[in-house]
Amino acid sequence: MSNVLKVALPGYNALTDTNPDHFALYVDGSTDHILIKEKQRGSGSVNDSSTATITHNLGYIPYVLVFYEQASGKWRNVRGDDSFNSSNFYIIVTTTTLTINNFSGATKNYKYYIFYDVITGTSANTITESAQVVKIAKIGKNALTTKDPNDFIFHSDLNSFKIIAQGTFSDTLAAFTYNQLYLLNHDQSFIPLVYGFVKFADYSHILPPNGEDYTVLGFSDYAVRFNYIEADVDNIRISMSNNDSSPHSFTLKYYIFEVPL
Amino acid sequence: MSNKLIIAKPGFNVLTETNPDNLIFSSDYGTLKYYTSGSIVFNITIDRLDYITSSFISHNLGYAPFFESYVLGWNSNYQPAPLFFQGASTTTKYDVIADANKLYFRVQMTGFTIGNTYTVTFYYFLFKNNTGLI
Repeated sequence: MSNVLKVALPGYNALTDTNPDHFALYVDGSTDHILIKEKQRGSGSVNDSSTATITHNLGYIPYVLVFYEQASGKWRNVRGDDSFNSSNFYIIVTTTTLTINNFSGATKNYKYYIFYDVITGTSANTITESAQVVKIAKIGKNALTTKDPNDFIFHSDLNSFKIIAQGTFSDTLAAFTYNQLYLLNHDQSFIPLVYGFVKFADYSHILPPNGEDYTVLGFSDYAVRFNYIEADVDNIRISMSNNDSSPHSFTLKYYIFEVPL
Repeated sequence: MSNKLIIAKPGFNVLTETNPDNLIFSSDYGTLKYYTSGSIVFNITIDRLDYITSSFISHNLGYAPFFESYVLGWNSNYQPAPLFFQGASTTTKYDVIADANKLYFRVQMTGFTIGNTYTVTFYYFLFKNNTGLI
């Protein structure tokens, strides 16, 4: 029998539950369920027609999350380039830097989070561990000897990316509705990091924000779009468009993450 | 009182701290758990003004999972996807969507010179987290 370490979320039985979604930490010895591990975070502002460069020096392309204040008090995840939403603000990641590019027409505030987790490349990094740690290595790695953050499912010296809350929202978009804004109270004491996916009732795909019209993607016969998801001090804000002559129902799955903006 | 596993960040008291941002880990909160990552490469030869190509990878989870994707575009930049950007005379769109068994990738390049070649690579993280939408 493999060694296991399972920490169930409130309301779930760690001894009997087998759904990884019901656990804060799920180590079953057969599949690595790896927690995202934070390396560094920060904030700043970048002028219009300018860039801001943050050095990470990891030697590979890491997973990053960047949020920018696209309008006063409204923070949105940067998905490559926000041109779909008429805001030319984007990020570029290299093996040593994260560069924030602002051509939106105004100075923008941003917050960034760089994780050790590898998008592509090879990790040769090590960390200096605290005197006492809790750490769980990936299958095939030795927790007693490795110091590479990417060899761990979890390490108590590295912040884990927490889901504070999650939920769903459903509605029907009227025909020829553009940039329909929905406000969903997030009930947090800070402006949270939010993300989500949308599914339309008639089809079987989930769509991230900032993507193309669903019909253009070749899977549906009606032009609907998940424009963006963002948050302000009170609400999750989502924008949807329907360029079809018929109404269409959708469901949003949203995630509220830990990091206060 | 429930049993919990909580690890505070340096400088914070695990017995009293309630702000999740001051915790390394807490069993009160879910986490994103990725189990696989990979890439898919598109070797492109522009053969029309509005060039489109697509492909997929199979994840076979039986549900639509939380996913993340980055793209190494034709301009040699690593950026999160989806994304859309415009040049002086061209537009580029990179899209990613998922269903219960596959992750789909699409490239659309408009206004590029016919005959030119490019390489576009998508990188993805697949999480075990079930969106519950499918």
